[in-house]
Amino acid sequence: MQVTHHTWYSPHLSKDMGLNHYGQQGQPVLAFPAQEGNHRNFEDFGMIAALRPLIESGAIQLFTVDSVDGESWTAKDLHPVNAACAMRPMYAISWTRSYPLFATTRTSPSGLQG
Amino acid sequence: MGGYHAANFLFRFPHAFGGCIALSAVYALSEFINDYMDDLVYYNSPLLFLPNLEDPYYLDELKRKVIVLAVGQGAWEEPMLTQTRQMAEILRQKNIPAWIDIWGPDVHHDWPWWHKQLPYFLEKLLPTPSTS
Repeated sequence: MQVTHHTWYSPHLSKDMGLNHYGQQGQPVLAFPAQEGNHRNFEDFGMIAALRPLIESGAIQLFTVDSVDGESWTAKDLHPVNAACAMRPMYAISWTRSYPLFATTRTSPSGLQG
Repeated sequence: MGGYHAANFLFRFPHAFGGCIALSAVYALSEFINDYMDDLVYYNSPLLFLPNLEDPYYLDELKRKVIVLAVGQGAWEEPMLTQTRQMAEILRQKNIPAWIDIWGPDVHHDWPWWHKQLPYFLEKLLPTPSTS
């Protein structure tokens, strides 16, 4: 299985953000980690192993991203208004950085595509 | 919160995705920030904004998507079970097709079940030959 790691520095979050791309062809699937998890979450908790047949057969390719849950919604020491504001860069980043990678891999129309 | 983000992304940006598979997800943020509310919270809570969504562009987009909302009835699956049922009712009222899959009382909020669920749904939904 081909695994490609991408990382970039986010000036909005003042930290590096990561993304793993598993596989090379097939339906692109964007995967969000469990609460407060990162782009290794699916691999560390056995989900990549569970999806291995689908990835290796070229049925899907998976993009796993970092969360910023712990710095936004689930941050115990933040007032909710700050939590809500902290979430915004995550969506902006997920959108502007992950999505182009995700979108360029789109193949012919299939059940999971619009 | 992965299922929450997957669903929230789809319902906010339906033009960008073919669908979502949300496993054991919450669809609002009250578990984390209690009753705090502002526009950011509202627009990131499908459970709250979907009932009021009337924009035909968004509704037509969403009606063409593959939407899977799955949850178990075992340990640690509240409030996800309740919120999944609430989403099912909202989607029904909006005439947005969705596959609402309530798994059994032995299905807990934990990775071993998600290992079963995600390949199961992908294999059902993908047009490509199954690899199993």
